[in-house]
Amino acid sequence: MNNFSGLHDSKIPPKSGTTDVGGVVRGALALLSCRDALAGLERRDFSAVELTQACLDNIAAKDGQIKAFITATAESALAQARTADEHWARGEARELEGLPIAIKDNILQAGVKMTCGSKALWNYVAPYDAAVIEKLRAAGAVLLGKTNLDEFAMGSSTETSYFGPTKNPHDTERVPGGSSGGSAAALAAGMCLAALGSDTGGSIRQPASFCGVLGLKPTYGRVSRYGLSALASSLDQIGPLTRTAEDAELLLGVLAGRDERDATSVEADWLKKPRVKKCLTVGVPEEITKWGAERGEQGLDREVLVNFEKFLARAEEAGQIKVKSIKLPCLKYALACYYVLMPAEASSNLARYDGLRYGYHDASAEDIESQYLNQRTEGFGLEVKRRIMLGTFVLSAGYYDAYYQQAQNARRAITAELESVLREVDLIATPTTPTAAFKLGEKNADPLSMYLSDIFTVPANLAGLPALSLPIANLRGLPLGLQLIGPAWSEKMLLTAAGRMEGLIVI
Amino acid sequence: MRFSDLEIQKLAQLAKLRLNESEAKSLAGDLDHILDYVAQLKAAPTEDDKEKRDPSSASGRTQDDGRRADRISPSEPETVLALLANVPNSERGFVKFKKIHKHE
Repeated sequence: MNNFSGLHDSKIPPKSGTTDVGGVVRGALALLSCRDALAGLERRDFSAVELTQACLDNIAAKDGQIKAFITATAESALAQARTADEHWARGEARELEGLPIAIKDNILQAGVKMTCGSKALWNYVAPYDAAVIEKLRAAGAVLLGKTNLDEFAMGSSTETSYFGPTKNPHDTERVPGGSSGGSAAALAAGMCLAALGSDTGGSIRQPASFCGVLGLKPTYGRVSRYGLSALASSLDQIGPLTRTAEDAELLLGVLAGRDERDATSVEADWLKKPRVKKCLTVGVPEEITKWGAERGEQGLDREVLVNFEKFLARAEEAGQIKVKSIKLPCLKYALACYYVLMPAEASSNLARYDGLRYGYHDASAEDIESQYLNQRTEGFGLEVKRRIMLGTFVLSAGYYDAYYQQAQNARRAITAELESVLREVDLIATPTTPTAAFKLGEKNADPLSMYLSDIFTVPANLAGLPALSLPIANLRGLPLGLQLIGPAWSEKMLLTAAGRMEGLIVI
Repeated sequence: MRFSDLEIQKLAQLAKLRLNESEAKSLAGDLDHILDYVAQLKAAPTEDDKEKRDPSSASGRTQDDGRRADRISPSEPETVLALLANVPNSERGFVKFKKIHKHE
């Protein structure tokens, strides 16, 4: 069943990794932050073509094992890099001129396959650019290719992709998280300088945590979803995965803004927010401390909690934050609420995949009903079917009030609780995930245990709040992330706090 | 919640999916398990429904003037061609598919 082609548009010619470029070994260029790369490009230490080739070299060398990309677009990336070098030479460089960026394969890039990690879209070629792709192009970014994901972004491990699982670069026997696992792994393995992901219940932050990079889910409405394949429209948001908070701010500056093609998008002049105060009050839900103490409750690993508390203590000692214990009694209901609303919206959104206008097609069916059934049955994987069935059930007559309506009411209560707490503290902190990256196949037999990976990340989606994951520690070689949640439109404060904390990280 | 075989097949029919016996059994078990977990929502506090707030715009943050005019903007010819290029079966710019009515 696997037609994973890896690098589809051309063979990437691997060049010698020892080539010296401006005193730097080229392979190392791909490990630069976006800000450092832009500075290097400006000084002409290296060219955008060399920077792009460094990423392509790493893809050629490592992606056979990691499988972060479904489609790499080497030729068009090098052409874009040449254009970027011309802009630099003419003194016309734009915000992201020449930066090689990877894109999650549920975002449309005109002329390039967009599979959503599904057999249902195995041959689908995007007819137009998503709003975020238009913006990246206009800012001079180099588009390296499309990264692997859980099928239709449904998963927390990138194992449900039709094209096979992505491996965690820190330990290839472990998952990179999901659903933006390809984007997080590509960044962690030095195959790009930044990546785009999408986050419905933690799909940017959880893989960022597992792969040791920064992942930001912006406020609902901050970034246009035009051209993003919809999973759950009231929760989905596109955001950046980067190496530093400064890079996330750079990318968000390009991506953010009102787009009339996404009615939920909002214009907000977020960069001009008042200066962020020196010492921020950070609320830690006492429920989390309790779950970590009572071994195994909600799946929270004790060592994860210890590392989380140690890091916050370090930030407090450094005078960056003041930790305050808060109560979030609704927290324990967030995941249950999410697993009613997300499948309900997903089952409606995925009704469009009928195979008649695009995607996997069965020409042998005799009538249209059999054609629908055949195409959807053969096109969708098990996790997608599970969520479509669950969504269909909670929306069905007789059960709608008991499940869907109740979950909507709970969502309002969770949102009100978070907003009320965020009037008392500046930010809320939790571990991003209850455990470090788990082994491939470890949670496949029990969907619920997989769902629990998102227990700390779903509340921000339910309430539409911005949240990020910052790598803070290392547990036997595996990265751990800290999640910060802020009030709506507070990305500037979130990223400033994360930027200050970067100095405290001991990995 | 305990799903019978009949209920699972009925759901699959609504979802336009075909399930064989072992898939149906396995999915029934998964859904039972997930819905047991979801049942804790019964104890969750609920915000008063009176507000009738759109949950997708928590605290009503979307712009009031955010609605665009309801007008048709014609697609570029290249976009139309690109859209049709993905159609498995088309003729003269139309999508072709199997007959909808089983009986004349």
